[in-house]
Amino acid sequence: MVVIVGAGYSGLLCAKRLKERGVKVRVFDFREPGGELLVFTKIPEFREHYGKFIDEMNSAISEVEVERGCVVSANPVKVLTPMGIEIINDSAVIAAGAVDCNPWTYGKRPPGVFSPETAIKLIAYGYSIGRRILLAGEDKVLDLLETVLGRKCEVERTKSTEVYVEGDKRVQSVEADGEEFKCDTLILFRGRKTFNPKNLQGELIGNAIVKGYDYSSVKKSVEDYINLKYSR
Amino acid sequence: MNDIAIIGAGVTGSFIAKELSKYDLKVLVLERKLAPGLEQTKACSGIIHPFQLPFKLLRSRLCLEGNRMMDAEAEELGFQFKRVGLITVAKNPITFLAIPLIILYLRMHGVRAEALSKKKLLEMEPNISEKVYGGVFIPSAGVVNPVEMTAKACMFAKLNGVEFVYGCEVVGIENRGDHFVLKTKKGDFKAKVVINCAGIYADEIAKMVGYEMKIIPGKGTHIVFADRGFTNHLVVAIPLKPNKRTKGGGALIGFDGKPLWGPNLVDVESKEDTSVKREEIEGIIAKFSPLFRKTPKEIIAVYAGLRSIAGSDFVINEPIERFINVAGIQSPGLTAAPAIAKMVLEMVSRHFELRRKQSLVRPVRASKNEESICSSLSEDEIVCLCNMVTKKQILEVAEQFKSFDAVKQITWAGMDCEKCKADIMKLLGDRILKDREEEEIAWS
Repeated sequence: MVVIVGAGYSGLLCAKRLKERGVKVRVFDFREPGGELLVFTKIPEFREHYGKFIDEMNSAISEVEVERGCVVSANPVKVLTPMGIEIINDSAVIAAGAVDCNPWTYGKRPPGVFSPETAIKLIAYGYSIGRRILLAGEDKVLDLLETVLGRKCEVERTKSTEVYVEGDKRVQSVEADGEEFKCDTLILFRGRKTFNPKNLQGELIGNAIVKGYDYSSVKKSVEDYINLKYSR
Repeated sequence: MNDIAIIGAGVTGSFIAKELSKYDLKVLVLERKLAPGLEQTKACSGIIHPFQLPFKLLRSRLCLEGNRMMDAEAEELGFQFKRVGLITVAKNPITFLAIPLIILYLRMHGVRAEALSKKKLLEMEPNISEKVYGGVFIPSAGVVNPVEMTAKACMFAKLNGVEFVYGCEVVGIENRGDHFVLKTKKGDFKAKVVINCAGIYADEIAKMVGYEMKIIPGKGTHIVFADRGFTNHLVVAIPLKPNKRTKGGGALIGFDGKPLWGPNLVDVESKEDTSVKREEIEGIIAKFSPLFRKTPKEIIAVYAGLRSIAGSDFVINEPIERFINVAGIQSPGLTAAPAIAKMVLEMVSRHFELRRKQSLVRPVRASKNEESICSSLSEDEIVCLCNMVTKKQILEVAEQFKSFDAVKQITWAGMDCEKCKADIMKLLGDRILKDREEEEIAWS
C-alpha cells in the first residue's frame, strides 16, 4: 500500500493513477481535498487558466477516498486523526505541494505586503486587497494576478525583488531598482518552495518538486513518477 | 480610585501587574497598543540571558536574579521556556587562552560555565567552522517567545483582578497631592501611585510630572532563517574586547528553533525608526557566518526593534513621591522582568500595607501533545501546520486582543510560511475589523 500525503491536484491524480493500476492507496489531508486549485476555482481568470487541471482533479475527487488526518512523520507513517494516532507501516509519497517563499523586504514592515499565494487566497475569499498595487518579481502567475486586480485597482509592475518599503499603518511607497512606486499594497514573488513543515522523509511528487504555478509541469511530474515506478 | 496605575503593557509593565495582582490592591494598566508586548517586547531577540557584564550594574544583578526565577515563572504563567544553553566560541588563540579565566570569572558570580574542547564543540554543533579553537558552554541561557511571555503575565494579572485598558495612550498627568490623574482619549483615570513602564516613551511620561530624563532609541536588527536545527544552542564569539554598550548579538535561535541572527546596535534619531537597511543584513551575515561552515538556508524575515537606552543602566527610581520610573529597560530587560517586578513590589510596599490574596486564579494551559491534537481534530481544525495552531486557539486570542499582530505573535500561527496567512486573516477579518479604531489589517 502507498500512503499519499496531501489531497491537492498531485495527490489525487497520483492516487487515481495508482488505483487504476491496482495499487492500494490511502490519501490524507489535514484540510478538505482540493489544495490550491480549489482556491483558484473561485476567481474567474484563474478558473479559466487552470480549467483543464481543475476538471481533472474534480474527476479524481469523485473516485478517490480522502481521509482527514495530519501526517506528522513518515517511515513508519504516523497520522493524527480525529479517531486517534494511527501508525501505518508503509511508504509515504509526499504530495503536499508548494508554498510561496516569504515576501520579506527591507525598510519597514507595515500591513499590505503579501506573497502571490496569500493575495490569491484573499481575493478568492472575497477581500479586496488594496487600491494601488505593485507586483514585484517575475512569473506567469503575476501576469494572471495583474489581469484579476486590474479590473478594480491600479496595478504597476517591477521585476526586482530587492525592495524597500515605507509606511507605518499601511504600505505607502515601495522603492525598487532605484524607482519609487506610490502604492498601498505590495505583492512580492520570491519563488516557491516545497511545503513540508513536518520535514517528512519520502518520495516527493507533483508541485512539491516542481515548486511553481505551472500545472503542466506538475502533471508531468506525477505521470513520470507513475511511469517510472509502475510501468508494466 | 485605583491604588496603582501602570503605564505600558510591555514585558516590564506586564510582569509588575502580574506580581501586584497577588495582593489586595486595585491595579490598572493603560496600554497605547491594542495588545500587550507589541512595541519593543515583540522585536527583541527572546533570549533569557545567563548574565550581563559588568556585574556591578543593577541590570546585571536583575538579569542573574530574573534568569534564576524563569523556570518558576514559566510554570506559573504557562509560557514556553527552554534552557537551550549558550556556546561562546574562541575564534583565535588569544580568546582560547582566556577560556579558563572566563570560566573562573563567571563561576565567581554564580554563573555555571564549562570549557568545551574543539572536538566536543563540533559534536554539539556540527555546523560550526573547523577553524574554531574551543569554547565555553553556559547552560542557563534560554529562549522564550517574548510576546507570549508578556501576554501570559497579563492574562494571569487579569484573572486576578487587574484592569487592562488597551488603545489608551496617556497624554497628560496631573499631580493632585495625594493622587495622580492620568489623561487619555478614553477619559481620566485616577491612581494613588503611578508606575511608568512606557518603554521608549518613558521620558515623555516622566516629563508630564516634571522629571527630566532622556531615552535614546537603539535599533537592533534581526534575521530569521527557515533552517530549523541549523544550531541547537545560542552561539556567539568571545569578543577580543567587550563592547560596553552591547553584547554584540549572536547566531541565536528563536524559541521555535529557527536561526535568529542579530541584533546589531544602530543609534537612530526617531522613536519610530524600525526600518531595516540592506547594509545591516549584509553586515550581520558577514559578522556571524565565519563561525560556521555555511550560512543557514533561506531568509524568511528581517525585523528591527528599539532598545530604550537611558545611559548604561536601568533607571528604576521614585523621583517624585508615588511616581515610580521603570525606564531605560534595555537588554537584558526580558530576562530581568520578573526580578524588576519583585523590586518594584518592594518600592510599592512603602505606600500600601500589602496583604497577599487568600487564593489566586491560575490560567488554564493549552496542551500541544499529539493526543490532545487528535481529540480536538473532530470539532476543530488545524490552521497552521508548521506550529500546530488550531482555529479555536486563534479565536481565543482574538477574543481577548483585537489585533492581528497579537494573534500571530502569541499563537505563532503563520510565523513560518505563507500557507495559512490568508486563512488567519479570514478567521480574524470580521471579528477584528468590527470593533476597532485603528485598522491593522487594512486590506480593504
